[in-house]
Amino acid sequence: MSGEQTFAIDISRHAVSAFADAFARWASVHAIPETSVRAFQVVFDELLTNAIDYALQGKADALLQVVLRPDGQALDAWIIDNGPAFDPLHEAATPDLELSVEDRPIGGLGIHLVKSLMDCADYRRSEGRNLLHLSKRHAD
Amino acid sequence: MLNIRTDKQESLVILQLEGRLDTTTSPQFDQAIQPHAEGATRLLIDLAKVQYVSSAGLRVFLMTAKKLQKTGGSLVICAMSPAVREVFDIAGFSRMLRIEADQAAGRTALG
Repeated sequence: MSGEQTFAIDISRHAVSAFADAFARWASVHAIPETSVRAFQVVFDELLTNAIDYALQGKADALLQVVLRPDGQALDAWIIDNGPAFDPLHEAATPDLELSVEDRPIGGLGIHLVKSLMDCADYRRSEGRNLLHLSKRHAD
Repeated sequence: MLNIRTDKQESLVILQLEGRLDTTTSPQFDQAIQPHAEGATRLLIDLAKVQYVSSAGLRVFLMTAKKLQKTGGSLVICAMSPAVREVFDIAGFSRMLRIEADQAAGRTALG
């Protein structure tokens, strides 16, 4: 058994929160280490919320899925949606991390967190779907 | 899910959070913290029971820190798990905000 699982996510903020719980339960069953679980939970919160807020809101046949594939020492995940073509990984420049409190802008952190918490994050468009692949090796 | 316990001792306000700080729960955190982000308040946020913080949660910390800096107050965050600390480190918040190991150290830092 590969352990691969697909989750369908409703287009709502509540569904993102419910998925965070479902992912934690799935991760427990598959003995995913806590460091990986927490990293993916942050990343899922960023990317699923972005997809719902910017790509899928008001779309009649909106589709949003997360596919999880445990692979021994790593966890791979795919976020799939049928919104307009959009690569969230290239949306914004890296924020300036050296600024002081008063000079630091409020936004711009989400994708930086995704790229830093994951070992691998890549995007492709295929058959009218956005496919975002994420991968993280478990810490020793 | 997010539970917030607030203790107020004169100008020292301690918020103990339990659960997670993400897109869904950050508005609740923001509502709880903003009334205290004023004047010379010394604000201590205890994250011992917080599983993770996403960028939505980080935004609330940053807005609060900005506000308190203007009003003459102070913000200290304490008792982060390694997962939460990693997010603060990646975001550059660890060098920008005051972070302590636990409540006792946090109270000392706030004076």
